[in-house]
Amino acid sequence: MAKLKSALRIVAMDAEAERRGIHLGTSLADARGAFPELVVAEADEAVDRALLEKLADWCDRYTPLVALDAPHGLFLDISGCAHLFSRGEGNGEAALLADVLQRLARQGFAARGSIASTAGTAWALSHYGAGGCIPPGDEAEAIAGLPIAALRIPAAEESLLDRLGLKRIGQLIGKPRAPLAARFGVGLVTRLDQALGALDEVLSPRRPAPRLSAERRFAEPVVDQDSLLQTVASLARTLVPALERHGIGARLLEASFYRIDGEVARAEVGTAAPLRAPETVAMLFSERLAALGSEWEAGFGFDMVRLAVLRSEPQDAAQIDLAGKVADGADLARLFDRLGARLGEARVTRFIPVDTHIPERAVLAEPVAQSAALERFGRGAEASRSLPPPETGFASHAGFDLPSRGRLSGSTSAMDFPEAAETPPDRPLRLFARPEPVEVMAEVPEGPPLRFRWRRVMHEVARAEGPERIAPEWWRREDMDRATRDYFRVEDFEGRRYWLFREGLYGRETASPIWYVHGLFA
Amino acid sequence: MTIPAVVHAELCRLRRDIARIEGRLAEEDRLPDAVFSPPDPLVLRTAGEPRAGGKSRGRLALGIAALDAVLDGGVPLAALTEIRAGQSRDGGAASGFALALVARLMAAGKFSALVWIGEADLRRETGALYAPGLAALGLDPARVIEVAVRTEKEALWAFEAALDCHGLTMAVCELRQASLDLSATRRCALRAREGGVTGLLLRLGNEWAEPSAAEIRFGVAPAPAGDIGGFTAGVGRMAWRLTLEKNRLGPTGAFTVEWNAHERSFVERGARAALADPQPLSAAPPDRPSRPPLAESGGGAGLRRAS
Repeated sequence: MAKLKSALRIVAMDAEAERRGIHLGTSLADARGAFPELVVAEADEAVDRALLEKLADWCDRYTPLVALDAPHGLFLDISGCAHLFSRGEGNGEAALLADVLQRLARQGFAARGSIASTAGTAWALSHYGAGGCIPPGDEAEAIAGLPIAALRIPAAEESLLDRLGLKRIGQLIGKPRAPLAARFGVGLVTRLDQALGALDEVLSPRRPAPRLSAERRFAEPVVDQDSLLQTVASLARTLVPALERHGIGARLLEASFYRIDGEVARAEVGTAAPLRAPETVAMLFSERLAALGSEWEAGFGFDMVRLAVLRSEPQDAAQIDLAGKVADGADLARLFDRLGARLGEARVTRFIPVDTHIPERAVLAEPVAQSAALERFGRGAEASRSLPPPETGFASHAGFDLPSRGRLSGSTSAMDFPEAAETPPDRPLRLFARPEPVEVMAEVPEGPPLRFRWRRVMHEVARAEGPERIAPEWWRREDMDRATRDYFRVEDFEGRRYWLFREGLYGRETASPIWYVHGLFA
Repeated sequence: MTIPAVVHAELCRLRRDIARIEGRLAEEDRLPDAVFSPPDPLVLRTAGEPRAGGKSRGRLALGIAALDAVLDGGVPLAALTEIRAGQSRDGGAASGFALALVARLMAAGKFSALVWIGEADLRRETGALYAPGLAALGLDPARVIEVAVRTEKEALWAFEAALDCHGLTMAVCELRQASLDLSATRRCALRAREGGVTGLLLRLGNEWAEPSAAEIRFGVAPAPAGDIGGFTAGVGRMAWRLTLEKNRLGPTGAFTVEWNAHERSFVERGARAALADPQPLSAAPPDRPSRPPLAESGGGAGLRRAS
């Protein structure tokens, strides 16, 4: 029941209600009048949607390509999947359909389904027809007797066609197409072609189709986490030949655990470098499941496990030395994977420089699992006495300036670094995500602070250096009404060094600028 | 060969007595190369024999003769070192000293990566690591991997995992007002030795040192910045007051050091810089002079036994 056209109306009902003559769209008052014992519940689109998504998850067991057809339909692209369900005769489609419907019925859903060459035909048959499997070529015959509504056209067009006396799809099939298109638009013709199987329809699956996947079904539900992890390891082992054949390694893996009550638990694991080793895969998933902790619910057990490679990257065959030791780089990558699997990928990050003068924007934290070139760490281990190592190319080409590039020449004599070349650090070691306001006593208008109160403690400034003026980036929308900042490096009498700034120029931008602490120096 | 600390200290005392009678420096016996070799700023000495299964255990020389002498060549690699700051607002100073050690090791070559483990809460308190600041300190931010953890337990788990990784060079675990039990740090120390990773345990806001399995422990407090090239007006070189609170080898002491980011080396605050200090910050403890004893008195008068 939901509010439609300013009245509470029935929007969904069960078979019993339908048998007693209630129609969709009947107002609640009428329905109650006819059947006082009617049980109604408020329609909740979000909940319905969630249920449909769960069903879609569940349907993943038939094919990785499942598309939602809200409010209460699902498309399954079963190309190449049906034969898995064939039991000796036929191509398995009928068996698959029977399996889907039977399992859904057992879960308490009233479901209809059909299999056909295109989504349009299948939709028409499952919604208005008898369902079943339609072999290619028989589409026109199968849908000719169905009402126009089976074409998935807007209600306005449908009623117009109805008034013109065109009630069945069969009446449209023979008609000249040009006048139809001229009168009702291309949409109708397209829908007709789709329903007839003449035009292919592109489904947009909810989840990307994995590059590779392997699955195992259990005869009995499995509850034990260790057994599940062992299954993941053995699935990973079955994936290895395929990965090697394609010359790829996994960067993002997903294990789906199908619970017998229809729930699907998924765990994703990203890796910092292409990965094939089954033991490592199992190790990462065990970390991931350990991190889930109490969120992991086995319920009555799982009846299927699938391991899918969602993202992959080329991986060359690795050479392992005779002692069986892996390279340092691979070892590091495993460490980052392990940390990421347990703590969450977004928590293991590296610095990416950004070309800007605004201090808080100068660095991005990029999750290691998503960064492309990690092998540089491995190579860096061999690069000795060069700082920055040329192949990192990081500090040199963008952003971070390392002092004393002279080190590159390899000389270690102190004479090469005259004292005059040394400059004090101009950026703090630690930066506050949001600058903390402080009470400051400073010379007006542009002088350095004399003393300031930060976190309830008064600090007397012993030495100060500045200002370093940083103007807002006026070309950004969010910076339009920001004020200029004057940064000062100050030191208090205890030797603590702070990075303070005054926001706004006296007189020109503001009458009473606010001071902030933005960072701490070493 | 391992000598218990008490026996070792006794031995040192006897050697000193003999040396005084003979009229020479006691340290010549024990530390022939660390003190009296030409002062190459980046010496990686190998102390003792390499452990079976682990990498050869070297030491990272700090470049300050007196401090390196006390530490038998420097901060031990493939071991756990603790760095403590009494107040959490000294987080900048403490992490600065830790990162200066990282920069020094990085400059010595053979550095794959640093894993910096810190609690997300701590970032709000002392700020997040800032890459341009790291670069200004003299280390390559591209080799730093930050790991944000939620709890102390997660931090220790991540620290252990990192110390166990052969491909990693250094791991830093930053904790605030944490009380760790001895077995947790002992596990970390063991992992560091096996994995060959240099571990720094950074503890902020711990006013009193707790027992730990670290080889050495530094207390770090900020010190007024040093001058650069005679320019005294501005805020110059970063500087710290280090207290060597714990040392497996015996002697402890207090030092004021500056960091020269260009040479990636520590510089001991000389007499000139000491005069330039605006005022003495606190009375130096009588038994731990900030001036190293070896340079002038020669007799090791300032060295105390480890507690």
